[in-house]
Amino acid sequence: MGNYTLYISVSYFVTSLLLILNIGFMLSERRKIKKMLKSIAGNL
Amino acid sequence: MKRLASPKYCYQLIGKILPWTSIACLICMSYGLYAGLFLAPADYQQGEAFRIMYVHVPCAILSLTIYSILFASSLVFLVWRLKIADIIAEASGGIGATYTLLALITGAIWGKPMWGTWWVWDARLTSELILLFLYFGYLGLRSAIRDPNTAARAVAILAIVGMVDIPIVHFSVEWWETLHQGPSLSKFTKPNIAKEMLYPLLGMLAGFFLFYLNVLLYRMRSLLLYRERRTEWVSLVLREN
Repeated sequence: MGNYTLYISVSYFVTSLLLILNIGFMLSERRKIKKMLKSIAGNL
Repeated sequence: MKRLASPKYCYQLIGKILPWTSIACLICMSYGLYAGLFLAPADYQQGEAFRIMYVHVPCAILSLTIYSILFASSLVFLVWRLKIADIIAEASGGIGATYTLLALITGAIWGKPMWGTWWVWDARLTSELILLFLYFGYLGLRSAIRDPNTAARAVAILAIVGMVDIPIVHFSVEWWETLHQGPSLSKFTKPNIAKEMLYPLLGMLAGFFLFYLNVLLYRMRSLLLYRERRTEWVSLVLREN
């Protein structure tokens, strides 16, 4: 891929990183909501 | 159709769909990545650098598509007061902003070897940057207003007003002289791109769309649980898990 390897690698790396960050955010949001709901259910 | 508006039915339906969309996303992305990086031949002008297209183009197309979905769901929410529509809009905002940011970053990385510069203030790039600010504004406004109903109405209005930028981004390369190239994919004309390069692009496009769909559906499930936390069906779901 010659001179362009760095440009291609950085593009794919940044894309994967941001998509993985989205998955992380989505999972932590779910965990937070479930934890909160369980504490509400426990207090009732 | 009426059943789709019911949060309980929607939650259960999403649970059934999610595994299939995840598998489809993996298949499409794996094919797109492999074919785009290893099977597609080098471009006669751009050499190997054109392979950035396989992440840049899907991100750019989806940044516009997701905003259109945001617009449509905001309109439905304002007119018919459907809670699901607001949930779709809320779940779409973050991923739309991610794709727009990625389109700008990968575009800059592609621009450096091809144009000799990371950034130019041409119509396509500038209008895409405005789109990113619209997404940030949308996310910021929603989190800045405490009352969820007021926040939902305010962001819906912002999303509808912001829709004016979408045709500007799309047609900017036709309306103005830009450094950015014209469209290679169009609904009305034959694609301006060789089949060996087109199929991996379509694979990546499908993969990125399915990724959005997965994040959207997963976040919708979380938001449905949160917003319906005082209902009996949510207590039942919690007891089952």
